[in-house]
Amino acid sequence: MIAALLGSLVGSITGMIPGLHTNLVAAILLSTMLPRTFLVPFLLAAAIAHTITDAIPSTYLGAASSETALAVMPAHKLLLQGRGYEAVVIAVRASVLAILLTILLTPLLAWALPASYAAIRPLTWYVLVGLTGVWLATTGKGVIIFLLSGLLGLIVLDSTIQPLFALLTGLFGTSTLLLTTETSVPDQTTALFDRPRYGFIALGVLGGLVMNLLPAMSTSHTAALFPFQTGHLTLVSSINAADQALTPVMLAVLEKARSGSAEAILSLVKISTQHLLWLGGVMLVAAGIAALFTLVTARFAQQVMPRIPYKRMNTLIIVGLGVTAFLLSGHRGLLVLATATALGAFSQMLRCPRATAMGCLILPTLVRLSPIQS
Amino acid sequence: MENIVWLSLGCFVVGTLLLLVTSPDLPPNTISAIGIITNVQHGKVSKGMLQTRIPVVSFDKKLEEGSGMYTGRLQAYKGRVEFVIE
Repeated sequence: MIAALLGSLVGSITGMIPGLHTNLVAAILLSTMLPRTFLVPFLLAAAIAHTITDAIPSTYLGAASSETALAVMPAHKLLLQGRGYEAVVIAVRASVLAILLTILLTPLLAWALPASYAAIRPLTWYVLVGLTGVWLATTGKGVIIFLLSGLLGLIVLDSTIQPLFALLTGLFGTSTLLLTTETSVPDQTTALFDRPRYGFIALGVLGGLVMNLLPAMSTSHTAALFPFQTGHLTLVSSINAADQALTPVMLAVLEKARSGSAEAILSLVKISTQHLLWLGGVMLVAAGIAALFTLVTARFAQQVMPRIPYKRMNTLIIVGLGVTAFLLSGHRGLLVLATATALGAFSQMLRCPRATAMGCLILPTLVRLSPIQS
Repeated sequence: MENIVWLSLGCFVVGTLLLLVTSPDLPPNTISAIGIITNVQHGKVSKGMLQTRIPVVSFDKKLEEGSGMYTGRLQAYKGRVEFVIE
């Protein structure tokens, strides 16, 4: 219980700091002599809490990760309409409900996953190519952005240290901040205007499952393949949360880890289906704490934001994101950030769906999984 | 107060109850190996060589003879260790 509480707290903090990931926490903790009965719930709780609280930097700072890239723009747009709190509520609600739904589906998944995984694995590349092709056909000029961002991804992914922060923040965060013409953040309201999109949350859980079955898929990558013009905030948040909530069942029935935290858990213990109820409890505690923590922080942020000069704050955020990219990836990180920002700005000028910039991850994945490569 | 606050509180309470009624018995993820230990060196940590031919298994890629670097995991199978290429 204490481990779950501490993990929730640490995950809530890492989620709020752009560039900091629970994988780093996992790597540090694995080198300690802490008992596995402490580490396993701690790591799982931290991963769950992180996925919920990262709604704050996505909404207020425009910081993107592979989990939140497609949520940055709609969240920031709502902020500029005075609805930053609503953006956070949408993300938190989608995350918590996706975690709940995933936990409820766990017995069914434990039964169905082994056969599904064996059946889908040889078809992975063809499924991805088919889905991507159908989606691109609907994006018009988006194909240009898809190819350009794909080329950028192919160049930087294997040649840069921790390239994702610089790449995705440039494409989706700093480019949006640079082209924003607003000079101030309007007064913020706590009123909620949009109705909950429960269907998108169910789709998000399906997306999380697909992502777990298809290797090398990220949250935004999966969300980009759903051909919707709206609801990305709900979809991305629920896919992200479902992906993390699927960790115990994936470890128990397939011994498959998708994240650094899951890899750490797998190296420590043998998870079986008997542990799923206990791990479900850990996830619920983490989801509850992180959701409340995020909502309280959003309430505070919405009071502070209108008082801050927006242009100056934007400049400071862009500088901060640049410094983070430099710290994570060195000089090359800055170059990647600048190039990705230019490409992100270009995609906005073309007015094509921004999700096409996810080509930076989709194209390299298709190349890597291609039957010609292997 | 928004529904999401009640939902979050509900998650916390149900999760806490689940943690109270379930007790984890987490076995370590260990592997067992059979072999003869040779070349023992004693220091802060005792080191030796386990002279055994570890089978290498690949489900997806065709193995070729010769030196190379592979990523994978050790797995116990019928009492022996196998290196499974991912």
